[in-house]
Amino acid sequence: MRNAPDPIDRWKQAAEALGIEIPEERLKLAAPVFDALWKATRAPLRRDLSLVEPDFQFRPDGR
Amino acid sequence: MEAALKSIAALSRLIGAGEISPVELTRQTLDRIERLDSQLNSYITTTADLALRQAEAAEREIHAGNRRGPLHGIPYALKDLFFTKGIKTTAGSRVFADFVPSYDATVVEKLAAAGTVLLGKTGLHENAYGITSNNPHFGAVRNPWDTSCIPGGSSGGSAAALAAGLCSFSLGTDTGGSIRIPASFCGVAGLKPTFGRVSRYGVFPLSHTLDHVGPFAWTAEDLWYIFAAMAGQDAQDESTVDRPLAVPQFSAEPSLHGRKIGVPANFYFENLDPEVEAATRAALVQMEMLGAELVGVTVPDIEEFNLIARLIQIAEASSVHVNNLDSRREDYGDDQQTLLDQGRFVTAVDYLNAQRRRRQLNREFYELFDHLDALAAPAVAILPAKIGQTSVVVNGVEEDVRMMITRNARALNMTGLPLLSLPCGLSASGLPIGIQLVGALFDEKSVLEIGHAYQLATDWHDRRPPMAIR
Repeated sequence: MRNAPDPIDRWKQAAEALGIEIPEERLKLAAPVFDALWKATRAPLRRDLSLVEPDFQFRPDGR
Repeated sequence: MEAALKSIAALSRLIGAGEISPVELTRQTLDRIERLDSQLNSYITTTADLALRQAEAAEREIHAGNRRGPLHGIPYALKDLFFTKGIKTTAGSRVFADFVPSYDATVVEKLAAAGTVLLGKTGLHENAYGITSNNPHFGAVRNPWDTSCIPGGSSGGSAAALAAGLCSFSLGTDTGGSIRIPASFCGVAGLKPTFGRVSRYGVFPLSHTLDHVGPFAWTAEDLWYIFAAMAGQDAQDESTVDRPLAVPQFSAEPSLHGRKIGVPANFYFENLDPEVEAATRAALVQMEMLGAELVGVTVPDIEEFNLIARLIQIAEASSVHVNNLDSRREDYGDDQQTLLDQGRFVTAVDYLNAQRRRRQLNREFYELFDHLDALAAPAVAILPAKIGQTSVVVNGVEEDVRMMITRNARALNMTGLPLLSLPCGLSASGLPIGIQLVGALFDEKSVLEIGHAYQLATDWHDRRPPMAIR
């Protein structure tokens, strides 16, 4: 996926691999926006978060 | 001022004194809807017959000496996202255009028990997923202060209807700013309570860890009456909590002595319209004159908060809509398809790590309130945009309108903290500006008391759009 030439092709390949049906013309709209978000979230999500308890049902007071 | 444009507190006094009856008030408001809503499109469905029946019942009870409280006989509107038994509930969506629920949302039941009068269901951004309320299926909701502008969203109809005197209060939901943004753009007050305070049972979900239910009204005092009637643990919604409500003291004299209000040194005042900044800073000066201590603070990385919030929201929203998107794609608007398609690419690992990172950032945010009563910031960084406007120039830089509108709102949904938006000014072009106050977890009391003191000393909450008073 990293070697795919542009965001649309990159996420088109991902959609095909995952069996997600998105019409070509819709993928052209969604892929660039998601690609930018995906790239921007790499740094925060590549922190070591392994010891932070995941929260399946958000509880603001930590219950 | 016509009764339909007055606050709940004022109406409650008038009803108590027998100077107006719930039926008179309801008829007046229904007449206004008939006369004015063609300019705004704030309602999808009106329930005139039901409203008059409820108003007559309220009137009978009040005359018999059985007054239930300040909301008894007060007409209100519901965002068309709340289930109403036997009444169409569309979610602003073509998919649910003919959906008629078989039960009421918990908050609808609670407001009925308080003796309120339901006028109808208000327009919204499709599926509550967006901030313009420019709905492709039900038409654009318009801003009463300038009908060429958006009212904000997603609860745009609820805020617009209140601002125009087409209801005396209303309900909305807030996932990434959907109460605070329309409150700010329509010049009314809005409260997003602490996550867990108000049941979401019977409310169409968008993003289950970010969705909140809250009221619109003219004043902090009015918001309290509605919030107090709705709050409480609900066995039907496991996210709700059993926490006692602290009752605000709404003093007659405006004073903020002893209050510490944080003013962010980073992010919130860095990229915004100059008129928004001026109005917000003027409100802070007013609060300081009332005795508050303004404290400069550094907030956690809101840019990162916003990115993670978007990732969580698109994943959660897509999980809600994926089946309908696959089977009825043509029934979704353009922006919905683009958003919902994106959410399908979020991996489980990214989603879980986003929720883990959220917990870390929240802890940093909560620590601010060890030494503060509230944090203050502009509710929205820009003035209301024109319908269809996609970009805006801020300080010489062209920005995406949607990103600028959600910039100051989105991250705060991640924290679950209580948020109050209050009108604090008008631009040179006559468009409303709002300030948001952030409180500690479960401390709605402090933000409402601060808001009340500010409103006693100012009159922004007494301003009405010209189209509403002509």
